[in-house]
Amino acid sequence: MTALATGEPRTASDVPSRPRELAEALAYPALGIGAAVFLWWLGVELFVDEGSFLEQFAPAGAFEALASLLARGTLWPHAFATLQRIFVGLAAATVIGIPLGLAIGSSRRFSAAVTPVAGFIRMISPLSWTPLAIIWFGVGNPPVYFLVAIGAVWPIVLATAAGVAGIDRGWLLVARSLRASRLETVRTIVWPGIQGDVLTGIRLATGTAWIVLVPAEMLGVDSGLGYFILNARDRFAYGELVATILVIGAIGLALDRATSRLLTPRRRRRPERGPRPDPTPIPATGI
Amino acid sequence: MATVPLRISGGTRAYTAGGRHVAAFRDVNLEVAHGEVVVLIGPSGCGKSTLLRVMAGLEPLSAGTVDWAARDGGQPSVGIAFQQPLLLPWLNVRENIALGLRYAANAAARSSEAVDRIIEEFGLTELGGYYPDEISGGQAQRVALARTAVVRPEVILLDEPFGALDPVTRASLQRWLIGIQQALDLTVVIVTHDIDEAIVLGDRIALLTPGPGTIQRIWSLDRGLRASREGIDASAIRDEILGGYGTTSPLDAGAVAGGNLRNESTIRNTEAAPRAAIERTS
Ligand SMILES: Nc1ncnc2c1ncn2[C@@H]1O[C@H](COP(=O)(O)OP(=O)(O)OP(=O)(O)O)[C@@H](O)[C@H]1O
Ligand SMILES: [Mg+2]
Repeated sequence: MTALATGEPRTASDVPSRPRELAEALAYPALGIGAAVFLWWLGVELFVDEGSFLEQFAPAGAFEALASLLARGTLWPHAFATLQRIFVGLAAATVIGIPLGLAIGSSRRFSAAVTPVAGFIRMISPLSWTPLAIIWFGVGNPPVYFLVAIGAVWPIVLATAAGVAGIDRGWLLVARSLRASRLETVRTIVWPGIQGDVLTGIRLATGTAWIVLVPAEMLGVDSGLGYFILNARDRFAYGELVATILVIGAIGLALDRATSRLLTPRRRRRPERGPRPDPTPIPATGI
Repeated sequence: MATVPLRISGGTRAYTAGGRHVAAFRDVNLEVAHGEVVVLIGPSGCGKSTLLRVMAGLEPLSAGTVDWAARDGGQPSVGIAFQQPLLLPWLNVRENIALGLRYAANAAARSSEAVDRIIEEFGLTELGGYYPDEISGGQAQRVALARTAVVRPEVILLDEPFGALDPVTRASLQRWLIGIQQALDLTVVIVTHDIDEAIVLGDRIALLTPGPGTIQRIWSLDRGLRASREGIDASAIRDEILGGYGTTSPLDAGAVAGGNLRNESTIRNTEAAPRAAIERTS
C-alpha cells in the first residue's frame, strides 16, 4: 500500500505470493460465516427448550433438510420459477424506467411535473399494491411481475435521470458542432454517457426486486421459493423452511455478485503500445 | 455576397446570470473572407470564446445578425475546436478523432485512411489506443483539433488551439495549419493570447477591448508574405497590441446594460495583469 501511495515501484518483497493472497481472501469470509452459524446454533441452544418443535430451526436440522431437498431436486423448479419472475419483472422495470429516466433527466419541466407523483409512488411499499394487483391482473404470474416491476423501476429511473443530468454540456456542443442529428447525439453521446449510471440502477433494482419477490410469491401462486416457505410451514417442515431461507439468501447474494460483475462497465483493453504517458494510479473502487 | 462566408453585424451576446444581464461581447462587426485567416486577440474574459461559439452557430446573438455563406451560396460547414478538449472519456484517442465521421452530415469526409492520415500528421500514432484520462493536456488538445479537422470543414474556428503545447510541437502544428489552410483554401478564425502566433498565422488580427469586448482595431498583414513572416520585425504591431490591452475604449461607459461603474473599475483593475502576461510570452 505504501509503495502505491508514494508512487514507487513495488519491490519483490512487497509482492504477496498468490496462494497467500488467496488464503487471506478466503479466510475472513469463512471465519465470518462460521461465526454466524455458531451464533445461530447458540441462539437455538440457549432460548429453545429441550424437545420443543423449535429445535427444528437449529443449523443441524436446516442443513439436513437442505441436503435432502437438494438431493431430491425439490427446490429447483421453485428456484427456477422465482428467477424467471425476477427476470420478467426486471425487464419490465428496465423498459419503463430508462425512457422515464431519460425524459426526467432531459426536461426540467417534465421532471418538475413528474417528480412529486413519482416520489409519492416510490414511497409506497410495493407489497401494498398486492390486493389491487390481484384485482387488475388476476392470479398467477402477472401480479407478481407487476409487484416486482413497481418496486424495481425507481432505482432505474433515478439512476438514468442522474446520468442524463450529469452529461457534460460541452459534449453536446461537440456533437452539434460536428453536425450530429438528434438521434445521432443520443446514440453517440447521451447513451454511452449514461450507461454506467443505468447499469448501476439495474444493479440496485435487482436487489429491490429480490426483496419484493419472495413475499409476493406468498400470494396467489403455487410455485417459487416464497410459495415453498409457506408450503413448508403448512407441512410443519421447519427444517425445510429454514433451508429455503438459506437458499434465498444464497441466490440473492449470487445475483448481486453476478449483476455487479456483468453490469460494471469496463472499457475495452487498450493495446499495449508505447509507454503509458501519465501513470496515475487508478483508485480501487472496492466493488 | 459570395466572398464573405461569415459576417457579424452589430453582434451582442448577453447572458442572464444571477438575475442581471451581463454582456460577453457587444456590437461586434466582423467580416471574414473566403480563404482568410483572422486572429482574435484580447484580454481574458472579453468574449472571444463566446464569439467563436456564435460564429459556429452554437449560440444565438442577443442583438445583431450573423450570416454564413458557402462559396456556392449555401451554408458552409463550420468546424470548431473548443478551448477545452472535451474528449469523450469512453472513447480512445482514435475513436474520439473519428467521432464526426460517424454522423451522416459528414459522410463525404469518410474514407478508410482519413483518420490514419490525421493521426500521423498530428504525431498521435502511438496514442491511438489510449483513453483521454491517459494522455497529457497538450495531447488532448491535439486530439480535439484532429477531431475538428477530420470532417474537413470549410470554415475552421480554433479557440487557443496551441496553448498547452511545447514550442516545437506548437511550431509544427502552426505549419500544419498554414499548410492545410493554403492547400484547401480554408477560412480560419483563431483565438490566441500569443502575439507572435497571431503574427505568424493571421492575414488579419482583430484586437478586442476588455470585456464585454468589441473590436477595437484590426491589422491587415501582408498576404502571401506569411511564409517569410517568421523573420519579420513585428515589434511595432506588438507594441500597438499591448497598448490596446490597456486602453479603455470610448464606447465603454454606459454603452451596454453591463457598462456601469462597477464594470469600469474592474476593467481598470485588470489593466496591468494582461500586459504582464503577454510580455512574458513574447
Ligand atoms: N454560459 C454563460 N453564462 C453566463 N456568462 C457567460 C457564459 N459564457 C460566457 N460568459 C461570460 O462571458 C464573458 C466572456 O467569456 P469568454 O469565455 O467568451 O471569454 P474569453 O475572451 O474567451 O476569455 P479567455 O481568454 O479567458 O478564454 C465572461 O465574463 C463570462 O463570464
Ligand atoms: Mg476563451
